[in-house]
Amino acid sequence: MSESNMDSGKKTRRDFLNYIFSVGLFGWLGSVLYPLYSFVSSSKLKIDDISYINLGVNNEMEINSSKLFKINKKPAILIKTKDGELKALSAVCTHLQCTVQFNKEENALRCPCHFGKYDLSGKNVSGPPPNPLTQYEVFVKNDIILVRK
Amino acid sequence: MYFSGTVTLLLLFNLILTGLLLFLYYKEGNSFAYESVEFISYKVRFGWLVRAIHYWSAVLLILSIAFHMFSMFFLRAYRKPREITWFTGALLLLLAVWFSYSGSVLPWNSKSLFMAQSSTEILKAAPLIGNTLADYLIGGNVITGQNLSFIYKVHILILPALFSFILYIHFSSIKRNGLFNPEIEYNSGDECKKKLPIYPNFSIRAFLLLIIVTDLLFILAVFSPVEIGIKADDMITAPQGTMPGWYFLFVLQLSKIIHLFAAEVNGKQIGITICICIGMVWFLAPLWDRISNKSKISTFQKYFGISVIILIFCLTIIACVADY
Ligand code: FES
Repeated sequence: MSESNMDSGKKTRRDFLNYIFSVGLFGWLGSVLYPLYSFVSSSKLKIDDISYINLGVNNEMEINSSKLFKINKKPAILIKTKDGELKALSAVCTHLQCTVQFNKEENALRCPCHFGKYDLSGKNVSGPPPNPLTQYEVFVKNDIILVRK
Repeated sequence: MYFSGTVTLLLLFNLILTGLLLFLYYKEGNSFAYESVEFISYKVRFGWLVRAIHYWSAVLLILSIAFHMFSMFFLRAYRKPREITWFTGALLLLLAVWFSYSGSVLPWNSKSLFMAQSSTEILKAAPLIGNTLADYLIGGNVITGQNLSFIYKVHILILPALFSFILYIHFSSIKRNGLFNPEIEYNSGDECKKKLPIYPNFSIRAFLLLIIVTDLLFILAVFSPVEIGIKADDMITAPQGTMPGWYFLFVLQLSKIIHLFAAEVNGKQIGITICICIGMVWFLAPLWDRISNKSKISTFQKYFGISVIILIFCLTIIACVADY
Protein backbone atom coordinates (compact mmCIF):
# COMPACT_ATOMS: atom_id res chain seq x y z
CA MET A 1 0.00 0.00 0.00
CA SER A 2 1.95 3.00 -1.22
CA GLU A 3 1.28 6.45 0.11
CA SER A 4 -0.07 7.80 -3.14
CA ASN A 5 -2.74 5.16 -3.32
CA MET A 6 -3.79 5.78 0.25
CA ASP A 7 -4.11 9.46 -0.49
CA SER A 8 -6.19 9.10 -3.56
CA GLY A 9 -8.45 6.69 -1.61
CA LYS A 10 -8.59 4.28 -4.52
CA LYS A 11 -8.55 0.58 -4.04
CA THR A 12 -5.60 -0.99 -5.72
CA ARG A 13 -5.06 -4.54 -6.86
CA ARG A 14 -2.80 -5.01 -3.87
CA ASP A 15 -5.54 -3.95 -1.44
CA PHE A 16 -7.86 -6.39 -3.06
CA LEU A 17 -5.39 -9.25 -2.75
CA ASN A 18 -4.64 -8.33 0.84
CA TYR A 19 -8.33 -8.41 1.57
CA ILE A 20 -8.86 -11.77 -0.09
CA PHE A 21 -5.89 -13.28 1.71
CA SER A 22 -6.93 -12.02 5.13
CA VAL A 23 -10.45 -13.35 4.67
CA GLY A 24 -8.97 -16.66 3.61
CA LEU A 25 -6.63 -16.72 6.56
CA PHE A 26 -9.37 -16.02 9.06
CA GLY A 27 -11.57 -18.61 7.45
CA TRP A 28 -8.77 -21.12 7.76
CA LEU A 29 -8.09 -20.22 11.38
CA GLY A 30 -11.76 -20.57 12.16
CA SER A 31 -11.99 -23.96 10.52
CA VAL A 32 -9.06 -25.15 12.60
CA LEU A 33 -10.04 -23.56 15.89
CA TYR A 34 -13.70 -24.52 15.83
CA PRO A 35 -13.08 -28.30 15.90
CA LEU A 36 -10.47 -27.75 18.62
CA TYR A 37 -12.91 -25.78 20.72
CA SER A 38 -15.74 -28.29 20.21
CA PHE A 39 -13.46 -31.16 21.07
CA VAL A 40 -12.36 -29.65 24.34
CA SER A 41 -15.83 -28.48 25.29
CA SER A 42 -17.21 -32.01 24.93
CA SER A 43 -15.77 -32.79 28.33
CA LYS A 44 -19.22 -32.73 29.90
CA LEU A 45 -20.06 -35.96 28.14
CA LYS A 46 -19.50 -39.13 30.10
CA ILE A 47 -17.95 -42.25 28.80
CA ASP A 48 -20.99 -44.44 29.47
CA ASP A 49 -22.85 -42.24 27.04
CA ILE A 50 -21.74 -44.47 24.22
CA SER A 51 -25.11 -45.81 23.48
CA TYR A 52 -24.19 -49.05 21.82
CA ILE A 53 -21.81 -51.94 22.06
CA ASN A 54 -19.88 -53.36 19.15
CA LEU A 55 -20.20 -57.15 18.95
CA GLY A 56 -18.14 -57.98 15.94
CA VAL A 57 -18.72 -58.88 12.34
CA ASN A 58 -22.14 -60.27 11.53
CA ASN A 59 -20.86 -62.56 8.78
CA GLU A 60 -18.41 -64.23 11.12
CA MET A 61 -21.11 -65.28 13.57
CA GLU A 62 -22.53 -68.70 12.87
CA ILE A 63 -26.20 -69.35 12.49
CA ASN A 64 -27.82 -70.97 15.52
CA SER A 65 -25.10 -69.81 17.89
CA SER A 66 -24.77 -67.40 20.77
CA LYS A 67 -22.23 -65.09 22.35
CA LEU A 68 -22.06 -63.71 25.86
CA PHE A 69 -21.12 -60.08 26.38
CA LYS A 70 -21.48 -57.40 29.01
CA ILE A 71 -23.89 -54.55 29.07
CA ASN A 72 -23.55 -52.06 31.91
CA LYS A 73 -21.31 -54.59 33.65
CA LYS A 74 -23.97 -57.30 33.60
CA PRO A 75 -23.91 -60.37 31.38
CA ALA A 76 -26.05 -60.39 28.29
CA ILE A 77 -26.41 -62.81 25.43
CA LEU A 78 -26.50 -62.35 21.69
CA ILE A 79 -28.23 -65.08 19.72
CA LYS A 80 -28.30 -65.70 16.01
CA THR A 81 -31.36 -67.86 15.38
CA LYS A 82 -31.78 -70.56 12.76
CA ASP A 83 -33.23 -68.00 10.35
CA GLY A 84 -30.24 -65.72 10.91
CA GLU A 85 -32.17 -63.28 13.05
CA LEU A 86 -30.23 -61.49 15.79
CA LYS A 87 -31.51 -61.20 19.33
CA ALA A 88 -29.88 -59.58 22.33
CA LEU A 89 -31.19 -60.36 25.80
CA SER A 90 -30.06 -59.84 29.32
CA ALA A 91 -28.42 -63.09 30.44
CA VAL A 92 -29.25 -62.61 34.10
CA CYS A 93 -31.86 -65.09 35.16
CA THR A 94 -34.82 -63.36 36.82
CA HIS A 95 -34.99 -66.10 39.40
CA LEU A 96 -31.67 -66.02 41.28
CA GLN A 97 -29.39 -64.17 38.88
CA CYS A 98 -27.54 -67.08 37.33
CA THR A 99 -26.28 -66.58 33.78
CA VAL A 100 -28.58 -68.19 31.25
CA GLN A 101 -27.28 -70.20 28.28
CA PHE A 102 -28.44 -70.79 24.76
CA ASN A 103 -29.64 -74.33 24.13
CA LYS A 104 -29.44 -75.19 20.43
CA GLU A 105 -31.50 -78.37 20.59
CA GLU A 106 -34.42 -76.81 22.39
CA ASN A 107 -34.02 -73.54 20.52
CA ALA A 108 -34.47 -71.81 23.87
CA LEU A 109 -32.54 -70.28 26.74
CA ARG A 110 -31.86 -72.42 29.75
CA CYS A 111 -30.75 -71.38 33.18
CA PRO A 112 -28.30 -74.01 34.53
CA CYS A 113 -29.13 -73.33 38.19
CA HIS A 114 -32.75 -74.42 38.46
CA PHE A 115 -33.58 -75.20 34.86
CA GLY A 116 -35.60 -72.13 34.19
CA LYS A 117 -36.50 -71.91 30.50
CA TYR A 118 -37.04 -68.86 28.34
CA ASP A 119 -37.97 -68.66 24.69
CA LEU A 120 -35.88 -66.67 22.25
CA SER A 121 -37.85 -63.50 22.80
CA GLY A 122 -36.92 -63.69 26.49
CA LYS A 123 -40.31 -64.85 27.75
CA ASN A 124 -40.15 -67.12 30.79
CA VAL A 125 -41.70 -70.38 29.55
CA SER A 126 -41.22 -72.85 32.35
CA GLY A 127 -39.37 -73.38 35.63
CA PRO A 128 -38.90 -70.97 38.50
CA PRO A 129 -38.15 -67.65 36.72
CA PRO A 130 -40.87 -65.14 37.60
CA ASN A 131 -40.21 -62.55 34.88
CA PRO A 132 -39.08 -62.37 31.26
CA LEU A 133 -35.54 -61.32 30.31
CA THR A 134 -34.97 -57.77 29.18
CA GLN A 135 -34.53 -57.43 25.44
CA TYR A 136 -32.02 -55.08 23.90
CA GLU A 137 -32.22 -53.51 20.52
CA VAL A 138 -29.79 -55.03 18.00
CA PHE A 139 -28.93 -53.66 14.62
CA VAL A 140 -26.35 -54.28 11.97
CA LYS A 141 -24.38 -51.47 10.43
CA ASN A 142 -21.66 -52.09 7.84
CA ASP A 143 -21.87 -55.74 8.81
CA ILE A 144 -21.02 -54.95 12.43
CA ILE A 145 -23.45 -56.06 15.10
CA LEU A 146 -24.38 -53.25 17.46
CA VAL A 147 -26.49 -53.46 20.60
CA ARG A 148 -28.06 -50.39 22.08
CA LYS A 149 -27.63 -50.03 25.82
CA MET B 1 17.25 -28.35 3.38
CA TYR B 2 15.20 -26.27 5.74
CA PHE B 3 12.21 -27.75 4.03
CA SER B 4 12.11 -31.36 5.20
CA GLY B 5 13.23 -30.41 8.69
CA THR B 6 10.55 -27.74 8.97
CA VAL B 7 7.82 -30.04 7.72
CA THR B 8 8.92 -32.61 10.28
CA LEU B 9 8.69 -30.04 13.04
CA LEU B 10 5.25 -28.91 11.93
CA LEU B 11 4.03 -32.49 11.91
CA LEU B 12 5.48 -32.92 15.36
CA PHE B 13 3.58 -29.85 16.46
CA ASN B 14 0.32 -31.29 15.10
CA LEU B 15 1.09 -34.60 16.71
CA ILE B 16 1.70 -33.12 20.14
CA LEU B 17 -1.41 -30.98 19.94
CA THR B 18 -3.74 -33.80 18.91
CA GLY B 19 -1.99 -36.11 21.35
CA LEU B 20 -2.76 -33.76 24.22
CA LEU B 21 -6.35 -33.52 23.06
CA LEU B 22 -6.75 -37.30 22.91
CA PHE B 23 -5.15 -37.51 26.34
CA LEU B 24 -8.16 -35.61 27.71
CA TYR B 25 -10.50 -38.49 26.93
CA TYR B 26 -8.45 -41.63 26.56
CA LYS B 27 -8.65 -44.11 29.41
CA GLU B 28 -6.02 -46.77 29.80
CA GLY B 29 -6.54 -50.38 30.76
CA ASN B 30 -8.08 -53.48 29.39
CA SER B 31 -11.68 -52.61 30.09
CA PHE B 32 -11.59 -48.93 29.19
CA ALA B 33 -9.19 -48.42 26.33
CA TYR B 34 -11.42 -49.62 23.53
CA GLU B 35 -14.51 -48.04 25.02
CA SER B 36 -12.85 -44.68 25.43
CA VAL B 37 -11.61 -44.69 21.85
CA GLU B 38 -15.12 -45.54 20.75
CA PHE B 39 -16.33 -42.68 22.90
CA ILE B 40 -13.81 -40.31 21.35
CA SER B 41 -14.79 -41.35 17.87
CA TYR B 42 -18.56 -41.30 18.24
CA LYS B 43 -19.43 -38.97 21.04
CA VAL B 44 -16.82 -36.29 21.44
CA ARG B 45 -17.38 -33.65 18.84
CA PHE B 46 -14.72 -33.85 16.11
CA GLY B 47 -13.16 -36.68 18.08
CA TRP B 48 -12.86 -38.81 14.95
CA LEU B 49 -11.09 -35.91 13.26
CA VAL B 50 -8.60 -35.38 16.06
CA ARG B 51 -7.90 -39.09 16.20
CA ALA B 52 -7.45 -39.38 12.46
CA ILE B 53 -5.16 -36.35 12.38
CA HIS B 54 -3.09 -37.85 15.18
CA TYR B 55 -2.80 -41.05 13.19
CA TRP B 56 -1.91 -39.41 9.92
CA SER B 57 0.57 -37.00 11.47
CA ALA B 58 2.34 -40.02 12.92
CA VAL B 59 2.51 -41.73 9.54
CA LEU B 60 3.72 -38.59 7.79
CA LEU B 61 6.14 -37.82 10.60
CA ILE B 62 7.97 -41.09 10.14
CA LEU B 63 8.01 -40.58 6.38
CA SER B 64 9.29 -37.05 6.67
CA ILE B 65 11.99 -37.95 9.20
CA ALA B 66 13.06 -40.71 6.86
CA PHE B 67 13.05 -38.32 3.91
CA HIS B 68 14.98 -35.75 5.93
CA MET B 69 17.52 -38.40 6.85
CA PHE B 70 17.88 -39.73 3.31
CA SER B 71 18.47 -36.28 1.90
CA MET B 72 21.01 -35.53 4.61
CA PHE B 73 22.71 -38.80 3.80
CA PHE B 74 23.09 -37.96 0.13
CA LEU B 75 24.21 -34.43 0.92
CA ARG B 76 26.76 -36.04 3.21
CA ALA B 77 25.64 -33.65 5.90
CA TYR B 78 26.78 -36.05 8.60
CA ARG B 79 30.43 -35.18 8.09
CA LYS B 80 32.50 -33.50 10.73
CA PRO B 81 31.51 -31.56 12.81
CA ARG B 82 27.89 -32.64 12.42
CA GLU B 83 28.14 -36.24 13.62
CA ILE B 84 26.06 -35.57 16.72
CA THR B 85 23.27 -34.10 14.64
CA TRP B 86 23.31 -37.19 12.47
CA PHE B 87 23.34 -39.69 15.33
CA THR B 88 20.59 -37.94 17.27
CA GLY B 89 18.52 -37.62 14.11
CA ALA B 90 18.74 -41.34 13.47
CA LEU B 91 17.77 -42.02 17.10
CA LEU B 92 14.78 -39.75 16.65
CA LEU B 93 13.63 -41.85 13.71
CA LEU B 94 13.84 -44.99 15.82
CA LEU B 95 11.92 -43.28 18.61
CA ALA B 96 9.27 -42.16 16.14
CA VAL B 97 8.80 -45.75 15.00
CA TRP B 98 8.58 -46.83 18.62
CA PHE B 99 6.00 -44.11 19.20
CA SER B 100 3.93 -45.32 16.30
CA TYR B 101 4.24 -48.92 17.38
CA SER B 102 3.17 -48.26 20.96
CA GLY B 103 0.43 -45.92 19.81
CA SER B 104 -1.02 -48.54 17.51
CA VAL B 105 -1.78 -50.82 20.47
CA LEU B 106 -3.61 -48.21 22.50
CA PRO B 107 -7.02 -48.28 20.73
CA TRP B 108 -7.11 -51.93 21.72
CA ASN B 109 -8.96 -53.19 18.69
CA SER B 110 -8.22 -56.58 17.30
CA LYS B 111 -6.76 -55.44 14.01
CA SER B 112 -4.22 -53.12 15.59
CA LEU B 113 -3.43 -55.68 18.25
CA PHE B 114 -2.73 -58.33 15.62
CA MET B 115 -0.61 -55.85 13.73
CA ALA B 116 1.39 -55.02 16.83
CA GLN B 117 1.77 -58.69 17.68
CA SER B 118 3.09 -59.33 14.22
CA SER B 119 5.58 -56.46 14.54
CA THR B 120 6.65 -57.82 17.91
CA GLU B 121 7.26 -61.24 16.38
CA ILE B 122 9.65 -59.70 13.90
CA LEU B 123 11.54 -57.81 16.60
CA LYS B 124 11.74 -60.85 18.82
CA ALA B 125 13.37 -62.77 15.99
CA ALA B 126 16.39 -60.50 16.27
CA PRO B 127 19.29 -62.58 17.57
CA LEU B 128 20.58 -61.91 21.11
CA ILE B 129 18.69 -58.68 21.71
CA GLY B 130 15.25 -59.75 20.50
CA ASN B 131 13.65 -60.84 23.75
CA THR B 132 15.20 -58.11 25.86
CA LEU B 133 14.01 -55.61 23.32
CA ALA B 134 10.47 -56.95 23.57
CA ASP B 135 10.67 -56.64 27.36
CA TYR B 136 11.42 -52.97 27.09
CA LEU B 137 9.00 -52.31 24.28
CA ILE B 138 5.91 -53.99 25.64
CA GLY B 139 6.77 -54.89 29.20
CA GLY B 140 6.63 -58.63 28.63
CA ASN B 141 6.77 -61.38 26.12
CA VAL B 142 3.41 -60.80 24.48
CA ILE B 143 0.96 -57.95 24.44
CA THR B 144 -1.90 -58.51 26.86
CA GLY B 145 -4.49 -56.38 28.54
CA GLN B 146 -2.17 -56.21 31.55
CA ASN B 147 0.71 -54.49 29.87
CA LEU B 148 -1.56 -52.18 27.94
CA SER B 149 -1.12 -49.58 30.66
CA PHE B 150 2.65 -50.08 30.57
CA ILE B 151 2.60 -49.36 26.85
CA TYR B 152 0.41 -46.35 27.45
CA LYS B 153 2.80 -44.89 30.01
CA VAL B 154 5.70 -45.45 27.66
CA HIS B 155 3.76 -43.70 24.91
CA ILE B 156 2.78 -40.63 26.89
CA LEU B 157 5.59 -40.22 29.41
CA ILE B 158 8.81 -42.02 28.65
CA LEU B 159 8.90 -41.61 24.88
CA PRO B 160 8.01 -37.90 24.88
CA ALA B 161 10.68 -37.26 27.52
CA LEU B 162 13.32 -39.19 25.57
CA PHE B 163 12.24 -37.64 22.30
CA SER B 164 12.41 -34.07 23.59
CA PHE B 165 15.79 -34.68 25.19
CA ILE B 166 17.30 -36.04 22.00
CA LEU B 167 15.58 -33.40 19.91
CA TYR B 168 17.16 -30.81 22.18
CA ILE B 169 20.61 -32.24 21.54
CA HIS B 170 19.82 -32.39 17.82
CA PHE B 171 18.93 -28.71 17.78
CA SER B 172 21.73 -27.52 19.97
CA SER B 173 24.21 -29.25 17.75
CA ILE B 174 22.58 -27.66 14.71
CA LYS B 175 22.83 -24.32 16.45
CA ARG B 176 26.50 -24.84 17.21
CA ASN B 177 27.41 -25.68 13.61
CA GLY B 178 24.83 -23.61 11.79
CA LEU B 179 22.18 -25.08 9.51
CA PHE B 180 23.63 -27.31 6.88
CA ASN B 181 23.62 -25.49 3.58
CA PRO B 182 24.90 -27.45 0.60
CA GLU B 183 25.58 -24.31 -1.41
CA ILE B 184 27.93 -22.96 1.19
CA GLU B 185 29.48 -26.35 1.83
CA TYR B 186 30.21 -27.33 -1.72
CA ASN B 187 30.50 -24.13 -3.74
CA SER B 188 32.32 -22.04 -1.16
CA GLY B 189 31.47 -18.99 -3.27
CA ASP B 190 30.98 -15.83 -1.29
CA GLU B 191 27.76 -14.91 -3.02
CA CYS B 192 26.19 -18.03 -1.55
CA LYS B 193 26.87 -17.07 2.01
CA LYS B 194 23.70 -15.08 2.29
CA LYS B 195 21.55 -16.29 5.12
CA LEU B 196 17.81 -16.47 5.00
CA PRO B 197 16.55 -14.00 7.60
CA ILE B 198 14.30 -15.60 10.23
CA TYR B 199 11.81 -12.77 9.99
CA PRO B 200 9.95 -12.24 7.72
CA ASN B 201 11.25 -14.62 5.04
CA PHE B 202 11.61 -17.78 7.04
CA SER B 203 8.60 -17.28 9.31
CA ILE B 204 6.28 -16.62 6.40
CA ARG B 205 7.50 -19.70 4.61
CA ALA B 206 7.11 -21.73 7.77
CA PHE B 207 3.60 -20.41 8.28
CA LEU B 208 2.62 -21.24 4.71
CA LEU B 209 4.01 -24.70 5.21
CA LEU B 210 1.99 -25.03 8.41
CA ILE B 211 -1.17 -24.24 6.44
CA ILE B 212 -0.27 -26.75 3.76
CA VAL B 213 0.67 -29.48 6.21
CA THR B 214 -2.45 -28.97 8.31
CA ASP B 215 -4.66 -28.96 5.25
CA LEU B 216 -3.06 -32.13 4.00
CA LEU B 217 -3.71 -33.75 7.37
CA PHE B 218 -7.31 -32.58 7.30
CA ILE B 219 -7.80 -34.04 3.84
CA LEU B 220 -6.27 -37.37 4.80
CA ALA B 221 -8.26 -37.47 8.03
CA VAL B 222 -11.56 -36.70 6.34
CA PHE B 223 -11.14 -39.05 3.41
CA SER B 224 -9.42 -41.84 5.25
CA PRO B 225 -10.43 -41.79 8.90
CA VAL B 226 -9.13 -44.40 11.29
CA GLU B 227 -11.47 -47.25 12.00
CA ILE B 228 -12.52 -48.41 15.42
CA GLY B 229 -12.84 -52.09 14.65
CA ILE B 230 -13.72 -54.83 17.05
CA LYS B 231 -12.54 -54.90 20.63
CA ALA B 232 -9.32 -56.86 20.97
CA ASP B 233 -9.18 -60.16 22.74
CA ASP B 234 -5.67 -60.98 23.89
CA MET B 235 -6.50 -64.68 24.19
CA ILE B 236 -6.77 -64.99 20.43
CA THR B 237 -3.49 -65.16 18.56
CA ALA B 238 -3.06 -63.29 15.34
CA PRO B 239 -4.20 -65.25 12.28
CA GLN B 240 -1.58 -66.42 9.78
CA GLY B 241 -0.42 -63.75 7.41
CA THR B 242 -1.21 -60.75 9.58
CA MET B 243 0.76 -57.74 8.42
CA PRO B 244 3.01 -55.87 10.84
CA GLY B 245 3.03 -52.07 11.04
CA TRP B 246 3.76 -50.53 7.65
CA TYR B 247 7.22 -49.42 8.78
CA PHE B 248 8.15 -53.09 9.28
CA LEU B 249 6.73 -54.38 6.03
CA PHE B 250 10.09 -54.41 4.27
CA VAL B 251 11.60 -56.59 7.00
CA LEU B 252 8.76 -59.06 6.68
CA GLN B 253 9.01 -59.12 2.91
CA LEU B 254 12.75 -59.65 3.06
CA SER B 255 12.32 -62.61 5.39
CA LYS B 256 9.65 -64.06 3.12
CA ILE B 257 11.97 -63.83 0.15
CA ILE B 258 14.78 -65.47 2.12
CA HIS B 259 12.38 -68.18 3.13
CA LEU B 260 11.49 -68.71 -0.52
CA PHE B 261 15.06 -69.44 -1.49
CA ALA B 262 16.10 -71.36 1.59
CA ALA B 263 13.08 -72.98 3.16
CA GLU B 264 14.95 -74.62 6.01
CA VAL B 265 16.33 -71.44 7.59
CA ASN B 266 14.49 -69.10 9.91
CA GLY B 267 13.62 -66.37 7.43
CA LYS B 268 12.52 -63.85 10.04
CA GLN B 269 15.71 -64.15 12.01
CA ILE B 270 17.95 -63.72 9.00
CA GLY B 271 15.77 -60.96 7.61
CA ILE B 272 15.90 -58.85 10.75
CA THR B 273 19.61 -59.55 11.20
CA ILE B 274 20.35 -58.29 7.70
CA CYS B 275 18.22 -55.20 8.32
CA ILE B 276 19.96 -54.47 11.62
CA CYS B 277 23.38 -54.83 9.99
CA ILE B 278 22.50 -52.53 7.11
CA GLY B 279 20.98 -50.11 9.61
CA MET B 280 24.20 -50.08 11.65
CA VAL B 281 26.32 -49.37 8.59
CA TRP B 282 23.97 -46.56 7.64
CA PHE B 283 23.92 -45.19 11.16
CA LEU B 284 27.70 -45.19 11.46
CA ALA B 285 28.23 -43.40 8.15
CA PRO B 286 30.19 -40.50 9.74
CA LEU B 287 32.74 -42.99 11.05
CA TRP B 288 33.49 -44.90 7.86
CA ASP B 289 32.96 -42.22 5.24
CA ARG B 290 36.41 -40.69 5.60
CA ILE B 291 36.71 -39.75 1.93
CA SER B 292 33.81 -37.37 2.01
CA ASN B 293 35.45 -35.61 4.91
CA LYS B 294 38.06 -34.45 2.48
CA SER B 295 35.31 -32.99 0.28
CA LYS B 296 35.51 -35.82 -2.20
CA ILE B 297 32.64 -38.07 -3.13
CA SER B 298 32.83 -41.62 -1.96
CA THR B 299 31.45 -44.05 -4.54
CA PHE B 300 30.66 -46.63 -1.91
CA GLN B 301 28.65 -44.09 0.06
CA LYS B 302 26.63 -43.18 -3.03
CA TYR B 303 25.83 -46.70 -4.16
CA PHE B 304 25.22 -47.93 -0.66
CA GLY B 305 22.68 -45.15 -0.08
CA ILE B 306 20.90 -45.68 -3.37
CA SER B 307 20.65 -49.44 -2.94
CA VAL B 308 19.31 -49.16 0.62
CA ILE B 309 16.57 -46.83 -0.51
CA ILE B 310 15.65 -48.95 -3.51
CA LEU B 311 15.64 -52.07 -1.34
CA ILE B 312 13.32 -50.60 1.30
CA PHE B 313 11.06 -49.04 -1.28
CA CYS B 314 10.71 -52.14 -3.47
CA LEU B 315 10.24 -54.53 -0.55
CA THR B 316 7.49 -52.36 0.91
CA ILE B 317 5.73 -52.10 -2.43
CA ILE B 318 5.97 -55.85 -3.01
CA ALA B 319 4.58 -56.50 0.47
CA CYS B 320 1.63 -54.17 -0.16
CA VAL B 321 0.91 -55.66 -3.57
CA ALA B 322 1.21 -59.22 -2.28
CA ASP B 323 -1.23 -58.41 0.52
CA TYR B 324 -3.64 -56.90 -1.92
S1 FES C 1 -31.42 -68.85 38.95
FE1 FES C 1 -32.14 -69.27 37.00
S2 FES C 1 -33.66 -70.74 37.40
FE2 FES C 1 -33.00 -70.25 39.35
